[in-house]
Amino acid sequence: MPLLPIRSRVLLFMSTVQQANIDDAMDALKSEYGGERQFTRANFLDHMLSLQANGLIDEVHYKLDANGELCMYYAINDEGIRTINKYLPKKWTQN
Amino acid sequence: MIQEVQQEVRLVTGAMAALLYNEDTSTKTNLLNRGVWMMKEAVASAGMLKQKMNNRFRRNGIAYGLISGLTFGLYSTVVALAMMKDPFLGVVGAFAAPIVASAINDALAAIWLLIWNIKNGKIKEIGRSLVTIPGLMVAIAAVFGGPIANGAYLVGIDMAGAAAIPISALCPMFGAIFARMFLKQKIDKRVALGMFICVIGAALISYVKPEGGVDNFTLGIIFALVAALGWGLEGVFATFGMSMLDSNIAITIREGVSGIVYIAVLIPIFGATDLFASALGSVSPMLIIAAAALFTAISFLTWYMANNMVGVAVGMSLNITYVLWGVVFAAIFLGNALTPTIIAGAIIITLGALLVSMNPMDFFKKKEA
Repeated sequence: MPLLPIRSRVLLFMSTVQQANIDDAMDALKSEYGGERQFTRANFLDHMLSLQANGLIDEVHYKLDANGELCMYYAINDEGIRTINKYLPKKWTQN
Repeated sequence: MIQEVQQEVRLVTGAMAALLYNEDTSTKTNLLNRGVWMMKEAVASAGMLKQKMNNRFRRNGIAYGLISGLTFGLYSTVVALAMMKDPFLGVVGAFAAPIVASAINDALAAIWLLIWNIKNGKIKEIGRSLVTIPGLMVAIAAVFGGPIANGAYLVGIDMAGAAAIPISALCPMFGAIFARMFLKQKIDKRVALGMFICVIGAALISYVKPEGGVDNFTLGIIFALVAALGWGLEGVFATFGMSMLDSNIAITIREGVSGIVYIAVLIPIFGATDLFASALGSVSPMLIIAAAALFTAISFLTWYMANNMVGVAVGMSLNITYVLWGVVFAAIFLGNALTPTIIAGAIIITLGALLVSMNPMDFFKKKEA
């Protein structure tokens, strides 16, 4: 199956978990996009922040992780779910 | 940004470790108290870091929005400059020169953006996006925003001079009307007031024709209105598509589709194929349009980055400052007459457009963490 645009794929991933941080998302999508040069932490942060700015996911909490890095957790909201069901190909949303 | 935050966290944790190991803590209670204190400190510093990151994110977003406005103002002026050179000079008919200039501009902007995306390893995203609904929405939006609106914008500037620039900035007003019609979004009092102010500014500019040098003033104003309509429609369609795509990719699709439609549809329809060919072969105007295309690429890129960082409303209002920049640059580089009514109208429309796109209070309100 051809891959989805990566930002849409991140949103779809968010619909499969209660909440997730950037590393969770990267781990989950590594098998699909891991070989591409765009697969960077900076880009994933950008995807999360943009999805948040567009009102499709919410930041639920944040903390300092073991390395002392700021780590944000996000969760999809109703608008995000609606957007996925409306605009993503059915073959992706049904499984 | 993240690296700086990390470094600050390391400094904080380093200081805490120093406290723990270097200081002589004789009793267990003392150690425990210190532990609780440090945990509180750590939570507080995480909050401070987050706040700092949010502030920086917002500041950058606003800066990008302003850059997008400035570069769009530059683009408008630079393209107009190119149209004053051979082979554009003295072309018969109102449409050929602006259409050929836009076609080259958008195609070159798409090429600039393609290079940018190849550099960032995102090139495969274009194909992936075009087979999804959001990607198609962006492509449809491109047709309204590119060949229709942008073409009309340049024809308007060609006919009416600098006065066309503020008129085209009525696009948020039309955007609000279309959003009311198609997306069933409400028009509240603030938006309605902003729309009213826009109309007053537009009426002011259109009513007083600048003396001498400007042919077809009224027709130019009408074309600028068509541009505003087209950009309003683009906004509505783009809203469907943009949020799920990487903005770099959305912009590349936009400029690419626009360039292709210009070259494949509009240039043949308006019989501008010969002009297109001779323009491609002339070094001086091509270099000028290549610079304009670079400004276009930067403008759209920073605009969508701003939209994604501070929200579409604030991003759109910062972008709309192109009206003021455009009028100022047109006066400086093109020698356009700046009548008091054009200046007053430009300021009034900018204020009205700001009011349509955003609640002024949002600018001062700090976003919640």
